[in-house]
Amino acid sequence: MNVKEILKALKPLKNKMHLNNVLICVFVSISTAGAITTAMSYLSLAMPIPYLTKWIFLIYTACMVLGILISAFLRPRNQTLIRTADALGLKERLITAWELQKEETIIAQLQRQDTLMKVLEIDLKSLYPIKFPKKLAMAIAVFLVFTTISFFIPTPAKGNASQIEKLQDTIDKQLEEIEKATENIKASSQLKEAELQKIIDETERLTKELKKARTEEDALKALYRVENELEKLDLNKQLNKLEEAFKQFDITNELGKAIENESITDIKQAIEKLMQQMEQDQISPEELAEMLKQAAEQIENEEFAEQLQKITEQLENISEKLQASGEQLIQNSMEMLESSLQNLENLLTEMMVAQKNSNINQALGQLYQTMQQAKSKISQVNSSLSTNTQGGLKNTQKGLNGQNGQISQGSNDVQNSAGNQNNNQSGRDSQSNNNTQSSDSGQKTSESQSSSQDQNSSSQQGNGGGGAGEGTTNKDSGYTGMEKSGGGREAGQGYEEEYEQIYIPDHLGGDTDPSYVSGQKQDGGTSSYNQAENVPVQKGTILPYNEVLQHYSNEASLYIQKADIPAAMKDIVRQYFESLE
Amino acid sequence: MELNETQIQLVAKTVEKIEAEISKQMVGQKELIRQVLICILAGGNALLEGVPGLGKTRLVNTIGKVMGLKFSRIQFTPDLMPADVIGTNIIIKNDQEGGMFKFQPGPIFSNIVLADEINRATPKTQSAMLQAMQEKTVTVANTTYQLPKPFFVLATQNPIEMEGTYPLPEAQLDRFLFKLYVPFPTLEELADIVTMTTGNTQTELHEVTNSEELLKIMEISKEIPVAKPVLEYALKLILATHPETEYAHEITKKFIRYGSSPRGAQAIISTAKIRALLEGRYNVAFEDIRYTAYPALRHRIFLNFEGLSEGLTTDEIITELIKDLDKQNKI
Repeated sequence: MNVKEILKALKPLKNKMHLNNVLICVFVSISTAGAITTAMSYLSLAMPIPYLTKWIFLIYTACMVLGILISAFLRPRNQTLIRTADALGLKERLITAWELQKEETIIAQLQRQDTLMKVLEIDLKSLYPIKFPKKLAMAIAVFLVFTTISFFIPTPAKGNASQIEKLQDTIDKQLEEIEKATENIKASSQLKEAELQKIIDETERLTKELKKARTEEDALKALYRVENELEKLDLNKQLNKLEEAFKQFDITNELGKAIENESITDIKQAIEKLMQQMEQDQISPEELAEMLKQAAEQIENEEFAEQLQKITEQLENISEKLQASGEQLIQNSMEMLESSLQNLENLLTEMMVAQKNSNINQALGQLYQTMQQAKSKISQVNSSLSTNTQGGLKNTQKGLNGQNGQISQGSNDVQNSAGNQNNNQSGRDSQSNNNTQSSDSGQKTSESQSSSQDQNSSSQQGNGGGGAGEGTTNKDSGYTGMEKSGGGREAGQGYEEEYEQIYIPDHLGGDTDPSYVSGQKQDGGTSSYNQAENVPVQKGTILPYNEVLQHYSNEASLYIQKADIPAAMKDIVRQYFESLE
Repeated sequence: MELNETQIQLVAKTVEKIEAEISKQMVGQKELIRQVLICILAGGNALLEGVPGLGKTRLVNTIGKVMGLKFSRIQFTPDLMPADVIGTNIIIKNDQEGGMFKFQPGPIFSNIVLADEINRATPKTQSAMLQAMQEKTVTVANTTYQLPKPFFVLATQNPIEMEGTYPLPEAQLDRFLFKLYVPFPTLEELADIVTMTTGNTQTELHEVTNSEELLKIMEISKEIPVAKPVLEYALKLILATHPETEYAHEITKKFIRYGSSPRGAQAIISTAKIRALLEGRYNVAFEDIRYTAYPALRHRIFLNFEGLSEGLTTDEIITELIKDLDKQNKI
């Protein structure tokens, strides 16, 4: 007869005690979750906490699971079991037996026997009640009520939180799309290993950056950065850039056109023509080197840029030699010149052939499309958050799209056009040529705007340039809708609506209370003029370009986040700094 | 001492028999009888306090008879001298040797001594009881005499008629294992008492046990184990009666002048063991401690002026202390 038998007889009680412990532990963990979530929900009134509901659900679930897990280890110890059983009517028999477990005296044995008899006699399990933790249950109820109440209190922080949520959702969704596109590229395309690796690396980097992104700006920046990186792989774009660079100069204009026509024969002819012009001394090697140098700067593909740079160096060497000898083109130099131009021809032919043979354009096309879509969606998140900003965004988008002569259909058009590589390119062009377009079609309007309200000039330019006849009239801004848009349709005709003010005019004294400066204009008075030939710049005030660029970029990024300007305008600013970088 | 199962199990039966036999002569007072028996079996002396006529003397007399013990009764009066209690040397004339001193034992040389109205004797006589009660010996003229075993003093005192009394000093009170209050009988009990004592019915008492058996029971009871938490409970209760200790309750600090001596702890544990045995257990429980705490401590706790002026009793204090202790121990 030993204590183990007694403990064995106490097992039903032990199980019931364990059950009670589980109940208490779970209630404690839920009430802890309640306390945390209540604190969080009230904190969310002051600072934005995205996905609060999800967090609350997660915390409750985690705490419950944790409570259950912990309670698994909360099986009552023998000492506790003994004390409880003694309190249930065993009158310290168990604790005495426990202490005397190693003793074999008659009294100890009798005591153990008596204890076992009593344990079997008394139904301890039924005597031990499962205690429902009322206080904890009440605490949980109170926490839930307080948490629920907090959901009905509107604060700006909650608005911000929902903005972040929308952004995160969009980013996640777009990340999935990008990953899908990358997987498709991996599965279907027959790219070079290095190209494929580059794409994979860049998408991975993009994924990381997007996951880290807390603002729309961060996300878009990451997308632009990766897009620029991927552009380097796109030979079509590289050739387009080269084509544009060549077209800028008369002497290489034909070469540009040949690239545009994608004709190797035309390239050969253009090179031959160049050679002839150089032989006839119409073009100097130095001039050609300078043009090629500028063209090389446009190319982002390192391999081709390097080759073009070498040709440029060859031409510069020839030029230096000619200047040093002071003679006309000598036979040796001519051969070198021929060789350089041959190299140029070979390079362009190589690029052309590579572009035609490469599958990367097709592969990147899909990825571009996804990324453009991502950018568009992320931009939309921001634009849909503020109704004030929304109108401005639509108008501006219309204006921008309208420069290509297309009827703008709001931001969706941006998305659609973004999907197309060529459309995207033209979209960029239109943005950069915005002012020119406006002056063509809406010059008159522009003048009237600037005289009355500078702040609306961009909006009105967009309307004029759009030519879609959807010109909006903003009475608040002082427009009557009589100005004609570029498309010949009267602005505001049939579409005159009351829009919310995008920009609030900030006049001194307001619209109804003009201010006047007293006094009379006279010819008297003195004024002095100083002619400054050079701006007096102190030493140390000029900083290298690369040192200030990042600062300017950051400042601009911060400003466009805060300022109420249309999302498409933000795109322009972003693109500008991206191009600088 | 070699124990066996039968001996241990016999204890409860013997006590039950004693109680049953005493009940023939005593109406009601069951709790008092049990407490007196516990005190006797623990080898201690009891102080019975109650108004006259409640059957104190009768109880002690009956116990003596039922247990088969030699019983003597000393009526304490102010002129009672110590020699009248413990005995004295007297000159005995012998024809051959002439006169010589011989010790003439007093009434204390009994197994059960009823010290009736002990507070009426002078302190000198009261103190003569000290050695006998504590050491179970008496010393007369440089000679120490062993008192018969077992030896118990059952003293009585009257809570009223305090005039011309000498309250027992603290040291002497401490020698009593229990101080028991003799309650007034209920209506039914009173009726039975009156019927029994005014009629011709004679109750015959039987000797249920003897001194040897009693000594054995006393030995057995000492073997009853006390678990550590139970022992701590008793000791904390003792410490809680001392206003200067960390265990002191608020009520202790406020109303108690002196707390119980270690004899109080000894009294609680030794009597709790007996009580456990009588309850058919082989271990001491918290309830045994609670049960014995009142008679063991009520005469060992001394209230201060505030306590006395508030009309508090030591039993009330003990109740509070037990409640507090139970709360601490989550019992």
